[in-house]
Amino acid sequence: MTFHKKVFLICLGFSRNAADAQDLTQEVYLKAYRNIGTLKEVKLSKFWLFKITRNTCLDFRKKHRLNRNSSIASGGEPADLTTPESQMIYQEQLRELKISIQQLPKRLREVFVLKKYGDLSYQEIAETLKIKEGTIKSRFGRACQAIIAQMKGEKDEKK
Amino acid sequence: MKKNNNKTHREMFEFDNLIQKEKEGALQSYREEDFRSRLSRRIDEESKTLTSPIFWFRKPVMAAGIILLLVVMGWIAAQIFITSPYERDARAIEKTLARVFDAHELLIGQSIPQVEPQRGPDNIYEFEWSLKRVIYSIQREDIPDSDIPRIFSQAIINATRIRETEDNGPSGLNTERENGFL
Repeated sequence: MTFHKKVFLICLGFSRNAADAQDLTQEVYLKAYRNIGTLKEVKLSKFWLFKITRNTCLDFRKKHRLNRNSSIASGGEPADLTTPESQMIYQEQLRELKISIQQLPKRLREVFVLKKYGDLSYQEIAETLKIKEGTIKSRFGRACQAIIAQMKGEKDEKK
Repeated sequence: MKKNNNKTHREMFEFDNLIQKEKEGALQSYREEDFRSRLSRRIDEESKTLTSPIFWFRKPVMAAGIILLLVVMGWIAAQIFITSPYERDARAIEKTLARVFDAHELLIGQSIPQVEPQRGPDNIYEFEWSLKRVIYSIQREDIPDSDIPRIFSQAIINATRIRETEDNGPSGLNTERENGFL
């Protein structure tokens, strides 16, 4: 249970709100419990768990692809948002960010979420996804550019 | 160029900040105790179904039972619907023999003397030998099934006549040979 908060945050990155992320975290641990026999080395349990997290989240997205209208909410408001106006701006920006992440291609999205939400190092991501570290770095760069472009595009559309 | 880079950095910082805020907000609503208790409850439920007090309701036992049942049903279906060429031949022969023995009974009913079974060199009845000979010929010549009863009946009638001529003496046998029965 050492990594459950990290798992929760990765799930948050893949899902649209904190409630879904909590359900997904439960699912991840249940899957881990069921498949504990497939864990070959205890020292690799961290990566094994992150891999289960990634697979569970991608499965969840496949199942809920049609449900695009589900609410985007972090679950709790950050402490520094004191005025209703700042809360509204935050919610709007968060919605844009979430949509941008959801629209990334799968291989870019998984790298981005593991890095930004799970705070995993490039090496840890490479170990989890069984991909070279260089590839992870380049995918992460492309994911950031795509998100910035997407968010800028939305801003321009509004103007 | 430098201006562009700065803009990108600022945008990166903005969404970094946004993600950080989202994570903080989500962690506020995340109840560790709830998570643990809910998870252990679900694991308990799952392990209960795996180790039910009733032996037959345990998942692995049920799965094994279903597999066994499917195997048995499959075997029965194979016996009924899939027949090997050998089985087909055996059934055809069985059917034919049943008809032949009907014909044999008919001959007896018409007071034609019955062929006495005679033991051959390997202690096999002559009648059986003649049947086998007919079957081998049918296989060799590839005669359709519909001809088999007639051929068997003919074989039995021939055997009866031979028996009769043997009883009448060697001259009778010659007459039969001349008539082309053999």
